[in-house]
Amino acid sequence: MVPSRPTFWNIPAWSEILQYLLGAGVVVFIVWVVIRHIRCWRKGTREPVPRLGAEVLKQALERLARFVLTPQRLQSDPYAFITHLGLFWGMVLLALGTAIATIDWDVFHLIFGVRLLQGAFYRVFELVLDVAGVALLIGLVLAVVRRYVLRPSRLTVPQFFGESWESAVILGLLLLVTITGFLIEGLRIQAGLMLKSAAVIANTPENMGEEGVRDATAAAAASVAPWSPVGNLVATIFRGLDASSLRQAHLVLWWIHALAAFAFLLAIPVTKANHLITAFLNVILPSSSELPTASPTIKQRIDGVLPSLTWRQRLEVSACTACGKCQEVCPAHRAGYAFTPKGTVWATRGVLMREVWPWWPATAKASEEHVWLNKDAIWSCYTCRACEVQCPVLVRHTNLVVSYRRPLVDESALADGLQEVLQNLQRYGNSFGQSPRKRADWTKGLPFAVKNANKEAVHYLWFVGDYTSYDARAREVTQTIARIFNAAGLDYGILYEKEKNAGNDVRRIGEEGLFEFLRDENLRALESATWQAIVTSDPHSYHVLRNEYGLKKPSPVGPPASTEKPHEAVGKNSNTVASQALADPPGGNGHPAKHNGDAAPLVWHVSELFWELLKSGKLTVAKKLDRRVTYHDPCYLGRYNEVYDAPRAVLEAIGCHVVEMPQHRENSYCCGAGGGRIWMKDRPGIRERPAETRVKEALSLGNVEDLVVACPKDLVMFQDAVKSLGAEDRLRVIDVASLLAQAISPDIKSQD
Amino acid sequence: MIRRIVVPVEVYRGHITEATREALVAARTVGNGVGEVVAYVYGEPPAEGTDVLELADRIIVLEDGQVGTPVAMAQAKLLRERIASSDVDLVLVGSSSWGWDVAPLLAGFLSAPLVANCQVIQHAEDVLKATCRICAGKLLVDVEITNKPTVILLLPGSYAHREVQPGKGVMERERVPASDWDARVEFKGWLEPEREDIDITQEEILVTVGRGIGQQENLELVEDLAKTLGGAVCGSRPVVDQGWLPPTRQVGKSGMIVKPKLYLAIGISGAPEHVEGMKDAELIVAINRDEQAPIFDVAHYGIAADLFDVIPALKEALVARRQEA
Amino acid sequence: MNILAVVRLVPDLVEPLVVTAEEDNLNWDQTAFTLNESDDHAVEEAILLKEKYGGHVSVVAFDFGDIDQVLYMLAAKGVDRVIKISWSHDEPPNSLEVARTLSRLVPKLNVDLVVIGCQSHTEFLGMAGPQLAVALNWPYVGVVRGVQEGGTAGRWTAFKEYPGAVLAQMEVSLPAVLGILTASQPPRYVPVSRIRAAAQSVRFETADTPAEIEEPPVKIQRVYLPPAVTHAEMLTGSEAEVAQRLVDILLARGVLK
Repeated sequence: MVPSRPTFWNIPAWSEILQYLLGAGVVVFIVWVVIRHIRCWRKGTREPVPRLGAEVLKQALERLARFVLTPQRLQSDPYAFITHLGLFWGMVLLALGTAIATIDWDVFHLIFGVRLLQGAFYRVFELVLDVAGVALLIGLVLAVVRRYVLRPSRLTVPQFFGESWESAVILGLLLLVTITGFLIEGLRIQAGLMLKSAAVIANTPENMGEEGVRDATAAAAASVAPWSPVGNLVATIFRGLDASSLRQAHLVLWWIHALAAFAFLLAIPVTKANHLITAFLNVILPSSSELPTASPTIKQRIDGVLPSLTWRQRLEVSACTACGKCQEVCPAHRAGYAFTPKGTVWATRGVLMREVWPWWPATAKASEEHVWLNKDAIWSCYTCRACEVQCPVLVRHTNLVVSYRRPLVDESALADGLQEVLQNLQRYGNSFGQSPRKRADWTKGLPFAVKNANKEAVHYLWFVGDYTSYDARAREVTQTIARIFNAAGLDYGILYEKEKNAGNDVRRIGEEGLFEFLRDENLRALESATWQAIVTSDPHSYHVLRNEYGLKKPSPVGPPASTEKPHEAVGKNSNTVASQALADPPGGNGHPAKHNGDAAPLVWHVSELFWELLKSGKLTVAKKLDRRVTYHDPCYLGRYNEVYDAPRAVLEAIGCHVVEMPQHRENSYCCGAGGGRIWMKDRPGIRERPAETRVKEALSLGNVEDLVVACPKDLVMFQDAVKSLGAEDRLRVIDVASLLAQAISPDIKSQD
Repeated sequence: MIRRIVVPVEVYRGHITEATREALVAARTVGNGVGEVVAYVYGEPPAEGTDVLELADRIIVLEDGQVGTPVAMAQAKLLRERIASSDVDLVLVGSSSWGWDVAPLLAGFLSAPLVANCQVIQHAEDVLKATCRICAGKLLVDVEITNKPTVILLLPGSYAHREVQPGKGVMERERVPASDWDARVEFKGWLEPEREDIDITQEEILVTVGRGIGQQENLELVEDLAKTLGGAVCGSRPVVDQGWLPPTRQVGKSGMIVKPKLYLAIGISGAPEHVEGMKDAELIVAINRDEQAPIFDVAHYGIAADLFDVIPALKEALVARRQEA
Repeated sequence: MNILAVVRLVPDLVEPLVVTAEEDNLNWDQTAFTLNESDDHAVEEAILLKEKYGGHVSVVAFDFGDIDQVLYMLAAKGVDRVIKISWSHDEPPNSLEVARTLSRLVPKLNVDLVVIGCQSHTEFLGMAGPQLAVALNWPYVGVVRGVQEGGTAGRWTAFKEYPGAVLAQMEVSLPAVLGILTASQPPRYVPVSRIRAAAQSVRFETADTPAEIEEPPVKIQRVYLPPAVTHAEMLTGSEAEVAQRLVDILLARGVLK
């Protein structure tokens, strides 16, 4: 007899039937809950995802490989990575094995009377499943040790949430399934060996009843027991037992195994184990890199807590596993605020889970979840996206925070300090509450006039920005940039009083109506001017102009003096939902689209333009500076737009030796100004301001002379932090432009 | 020729207010020894500090019932007939919470003009001229006053330190029938603010320290000066960040917005964030070693010197002046 | 409870003030206007009272400048009724004109309480709130920070602010006029989307104003800007001299007592 899988050996008919009935019940339950999940997602609003096409599919496959098969974002923590590999691949193979076994028995055997799992295939099958079981077991043990012995802080959550009961249930059931699996395998092998030696096998199948056939199969399978190394080893434990004890023990354990497996299946859709499916979906499905638009007709809060979310946001929230990688890197959390990105996502998931599954036994009451969703927490976020580049399942925390902020704005539940700023922006178009006529006052100190782009055509339209126009310190850098542009012979101009705050941070605050107003005002000014490209020194303006204004490239790119209006701006009609008017959103899953190859970008950050001017020889370095510096990646330039190299290239070109801080490029640490936080008052009780943490990081490098920035808000924040730390004589905070100015011409007066 | 000037006297919790004293000084100045200065006191004058009343020629104490309770409307109404029937050319009221009610109500009752936010009054050739400071001090208006009587609400400061001759100081008493008291507004009592630390937004004199102070120990020097001046110490953000002062004492955009009478900035460079919080102070004096410090662009007076030299000298001068007085 | 809030536009001091060549007035063409701050607080207090005790809030304003934008914003806050008084002059009405016009309008409106900012930074001839109260023969309390229902005999309680944040608890019989300095809570922020929605839905009622403006009871001789102070006057000399000068200045400015 060819060894084949001894399916249902020793299982009486009633058990077999009962098991099928239970299995059917489990399937019905799962289908029912999945339908409820899908309904819950469908309650979300529309999200402008890219249309399905080859490119979208390709990106989906890439993400599948990167984030699912070899979860790249877990690699920074080898322990977690190995744990997850064991769990993931163990589970995948065992699930696959179960599927094959089902097909073998319930399709091939039942319908066609042939076996799939026999001979060589069966032997390999047994081996692979044993290895998978071991992998799973290792993963489980590692997980248990980590969660209950090592207890890294990112797995725990403050106060009330305590340890999630979900982890205990999932790990417990899986351990039970795995261990009983090996035990019944061992029992079956031992029994098979006994049956083989008892020569029951002599009978021909025709003479045996169903039970006899199964005994014979078990006996035959025992002859290939070495292919199940773990089962074979386990079998040795049972050597002393007689046949009936073996059979009894096997039946009991078989039931435990089956029930635990069913229980785990039931748990999948109602616990965080659902990330098996939701994380998978979240990774492969396309998403918009845009913030969801807020339609005034959409109710801002659901059930008093939940803001209006897109279906995609609802899905991604349910993909969260509370791994806490986001929390570890969050500057607001590290500074001591109530906010953690994990808390926000996890608490949201709790609210949604009650929608899906009202009987869900949440550890925390809704009121407790609100601690993470209340305004203190929600206003603490810097929208720096440090969390997003860490998230293994691609949750977009910052969009979620903005979604929570919108109803707060609607209810006038603003953070301290915001009210005046928003009113200033409504009234004057700048956060400083200053006269719009004073916006270009910084040009007065220059020995040359700056072109008025409202009146004459320019090649580069310089969108100056608020801090850069009104803040005394940042203005000096702005003047320096003008001097550099002049030295390079650049054809540029500014919008003078017609420029308004670009609205990036207003949008992050959640005041979408004000953002639309500011955007429309700026678009009106941009439309009536003639230009080829936009340049700005403010990363916040840069991001919103580049990605959220729906600006289209002027075509064709003609000579700078072209009198026709080559560009067109869309999205000007305030009545249309912005997303519809916007150009196709770039990329997906929060990953910004890269500039298209060598084609000149439409919106430049000054550091990119500086590098271009140096490369093309329009700027020449007169004096190498020979300084040891470190460079801080601004969130909205780096993580948001992946501009990492240009500022560094400029620094190297002018003779600076760039020493990297431990947290750099996509892991850069926010200065604490983003997301409108620069306008909010600090609350007492904060452990340490992010800017100070960052300055300390720069100081810890030793013998670095300058902390170089490329953002006016960084300049202000870090200069204050250096002062607060009393480190003025050890570290100088300076803008890239100021260093460049010193290098290209010692004559250009620049910030000290 | 000014015949008679009336000054309603405000007694706030047992003291005749500074605003009233300034109004009396102004009345003496404008009356120029000719016009009779009449002070109306509501209820029994307080036991102490009544020498201020000697600036008036006649002191009329209105007595009985609720007359002494600070109900501006009823108190103003008591003067309607008294003023209308007695050749009064001018009513001078000092700026205070009480004066802000009394002056316009009295003008209304008398159907007389009210000149508010008046900085200074000049009297030449029988023409009364007043200069009003409006729009947060950004605009001045000169007006000519012809109507008699006219009610003037004086801004504080201009008459605080004029030297004037005292008046005759004759005191009279008048009983007020209960029926004359307008009881539609009733004073029920004072409510004290609850606070742990002092509220720097309510202080009239603030001495503010910046990073220039160097170290926490030096704060004592500044606290000493503040005490001498009768003010409170506050700080810029770096000082508060250091924990040298509690956050309730932080001036600036991310701290408190203050508008004291005197803002003495010591070792403050004048970062915009800070200036935002104090630029509307009535008088800003800055002490900073750096002559180029931007604080000197907002300050009214500046001293470019080492604070450790200036502060002791300043304290000495203050103490000396106090002993003189 | 029917509350009427009076709102006025005042020159926006963020923009530099410009005076006519004749120095007889502000150059109104070059003046930007904004909502008078304490009027904003008065409306906020009215809405807070309505939210707390129920009732109805009306707002009245002269139809001057960009008042519509302000009224949209106030409507979005929760004002029930908006009345615009026609006004065809180049300059905003002075305080006396406000008091005179309102004293005719208010009796027609079935109002229990009028709230108005107790100050406006352009007021130097009269003060609108108290003079309206006198014209109506209603009681008045000014410099009020916060109002509550529930005094004795159906009166309401107003908290009048004194220096050092001391409050005088005043009971007022209705109807009354209250001059508001600050509301119990800072005026709430109104999101742009709500203002836009209000602009679509709000209906203005109109009221007439007497055709003639009364001559002010005093003669305005000159309107001018104070001499500009751009840089501190630097005190120089020895420490003792500098200190003495400073003490003299403090005495002259009335800071020292």
